[in-house]
Amino acid sequence: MARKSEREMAAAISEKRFRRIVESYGANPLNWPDGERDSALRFAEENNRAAVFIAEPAALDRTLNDMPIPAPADEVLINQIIAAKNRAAAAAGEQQPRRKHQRLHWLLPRLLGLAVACGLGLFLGFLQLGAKRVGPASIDANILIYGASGVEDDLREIN
Amino acid sequence: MRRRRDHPLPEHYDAADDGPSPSEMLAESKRAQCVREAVNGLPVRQKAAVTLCYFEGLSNREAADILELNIKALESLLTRGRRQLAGKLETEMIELKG
Repeated sequence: MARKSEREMAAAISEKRFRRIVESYGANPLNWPDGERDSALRFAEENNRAAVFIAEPAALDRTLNDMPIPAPADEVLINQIIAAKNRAAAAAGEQQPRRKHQRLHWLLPRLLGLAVACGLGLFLGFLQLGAKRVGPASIDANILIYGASGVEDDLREIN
Repeated sequence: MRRRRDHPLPEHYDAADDGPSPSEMLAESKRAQCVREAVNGLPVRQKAAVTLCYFEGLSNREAADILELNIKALESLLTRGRRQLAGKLETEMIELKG
């Protein structure tokens, strides 16, 4: 059995649907919905009545095409386009926190490392200060205080 | 060396212009004005649908997304919009057919 071509495989559309397509989108197949273009073209090729349905939309298309006019600026439409863009941006933005989270994951070990290094630095610094407190200078001061207190003389007298 | 001779144009020479005549240009301008008025005269949502699908060349899905409609509703707007345009531009359509 011969394999059917892609266009033959396309689902057949009804006459009603074909009329709806040309009345909505015009006679130019390029403007027809992508998913139905092949089926509509096949319908047009196989049905003589298709030419009748296309005649009027084609006349309107020619009228509109022959006179290039700028798209009419309309505040409502502009606002709708802006709103649609914002919706798309918001939809894209939903992925943003995940990305931030991922970035945080990447940063976290480095931040931890930095915190540990700072802590270690502080700890060593305090150790150093402590060492200074019990250093030779402070020992000398203690001996002087001890000598000035007279405790040593008292001990000598007792002995 | 041969000298090149200049051949002056005839006294009443007028180059033929292949472009449209002033009356044709005027008629075209009037028709364009009619189309513009017809499109601008559509109800807001029909005008938006026609503008997006026809003049901006967006696909039906893109236009439906912008207008926050489903495809069926968009097609309904387009059909009504085009019918209204056809009614308003009947004269222009007949002229172009002829």
